[in-house]
Amino acid sequence: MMMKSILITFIIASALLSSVFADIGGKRTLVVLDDLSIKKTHSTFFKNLENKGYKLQFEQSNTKVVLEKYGDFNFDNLILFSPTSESLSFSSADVTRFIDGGNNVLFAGSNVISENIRDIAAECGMEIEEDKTLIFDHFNYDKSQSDHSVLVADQFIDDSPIILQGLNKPILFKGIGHKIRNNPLNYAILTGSSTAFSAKAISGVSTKLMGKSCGLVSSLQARNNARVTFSGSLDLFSDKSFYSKIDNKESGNKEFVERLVSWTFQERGILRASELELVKISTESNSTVAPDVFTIKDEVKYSLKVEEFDGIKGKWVPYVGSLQLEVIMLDPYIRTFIKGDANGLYKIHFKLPDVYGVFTFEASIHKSGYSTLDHIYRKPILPFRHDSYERFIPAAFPYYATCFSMLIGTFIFSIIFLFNKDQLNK
Amino acid sequence: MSTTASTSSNNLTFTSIVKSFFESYSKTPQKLKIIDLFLIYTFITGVIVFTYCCLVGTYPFNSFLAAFISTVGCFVLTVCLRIQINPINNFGKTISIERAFTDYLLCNLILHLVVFNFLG
Repeated sequence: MMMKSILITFIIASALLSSVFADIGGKRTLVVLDDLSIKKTHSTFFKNLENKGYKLQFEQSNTKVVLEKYGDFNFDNLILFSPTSESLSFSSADVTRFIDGGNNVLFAGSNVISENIRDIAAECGMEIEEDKTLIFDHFNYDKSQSDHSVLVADQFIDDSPIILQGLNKPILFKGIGHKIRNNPLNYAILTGSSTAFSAKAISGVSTKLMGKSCGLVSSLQARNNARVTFSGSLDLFSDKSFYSKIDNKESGNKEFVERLVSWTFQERGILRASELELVKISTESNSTVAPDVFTIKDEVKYSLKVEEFDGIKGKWVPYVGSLQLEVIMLDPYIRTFIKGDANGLYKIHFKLPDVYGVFTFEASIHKSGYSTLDHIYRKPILPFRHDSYERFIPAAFPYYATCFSMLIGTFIFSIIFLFNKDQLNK
Repeated sequence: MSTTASTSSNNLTFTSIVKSFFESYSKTPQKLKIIDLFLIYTFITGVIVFTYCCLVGTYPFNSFLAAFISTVGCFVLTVCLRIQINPINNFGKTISIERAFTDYLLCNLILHLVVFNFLG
């Protein structure tokens, strides 16, 4: 009996531990390929991942693979390098569920794209162009080749530096374009320049997509912080592309892909909050209530530690930035922005509102490229107790005097009235 | 009756009105005069309280309300007492002076309980 309970405790503890550690920066990766020769043509890409500790499991697209079993996912990341094959062993619904489970997906397109991949892209807010189209640009193409569809692309996303970490070397790109839905969750990581357009590869008949709305590479960070990246070109990840040159200078392809993939697989830009401290400093109420009971108009100190995940070191480091704090009861009564110090501590002193009720202290960071952080803490704010109001305020002395004068006046009036001998003649 | 009508129609000046008012007021019983005096006192106190509040602000608002309610309440109750014991109103047949005065005191007790509860 004793042994049995110890065994059960051990099993539960190990299950809990494993679930804790599988949380962030998971390395189990499924790679689905159209054809296993991609393993050779993209060897640098895969080798880099393996060097970073990713456990790659290569499967051909028609092999039966189970992503999820009893609500548990067998993989943390999914690389779908099988744009063409119609015999993909899992459906777009499976992939959506995989993303909903907080896992990451990297997938790429090619000249012809299967319905399955199109569905997945559409679920993620990307509408891939028709088959056999390419993005052309008659101004920004690789001048060493006559092919105008080999773009020299440098329209990187610039409002979320966390993703590409300040990359500014142009990259070579040849592939299919996609339209990116206008959605705060979608990031247009690489787009065509204003002279780019999408057209049929053979006939050259252009489609409606043009200019900067031509998405080349884009990402989605879902509300559960799962990250999905789609590239219109599978060749972008190939060895040939990594070592390609623009005007005899090295292209930025290798760095671009490395940074893109490491962001997609949650090696950085993940935030967490801890060590909440909400303390009463001073109070306007006169009564001696317990220190952890808040009354209206109390002066309080709020402090929260925010850390971001550093995938290279594999540990949490302080996040220095800005945090939005709201004190909400249906409406935000207080909304402030707090600057963090070097230790990632966000501290502020403020006065609680003059309204009682159950308030939510919501700290949030919505910074593009970072995971969304919403730290919610609820606490009631009580009204003053009957004995906690201030008494004998000097300004109120005339009022006290009035009340007493009325009392005494009535008393004197009563005496005079009663002892008056005058008879009312009826 | 006819003489008063003729005088009023002849010279309806302010002084004559005041004079006739005091003439007729002197005929009111003394008890009612005492009541009137007390009424004037409560009224003036009420006005003073209100002016003070306008000048100083409403900060201890409950105290102001208590003081103001106290003056207004006293005024209203005393007016009620005056109506009940005034012989012109013929309440004397159903309500005796003693009964009216006891009611008055009881109401005052309740009023001041409320006022002092509210004052703090």
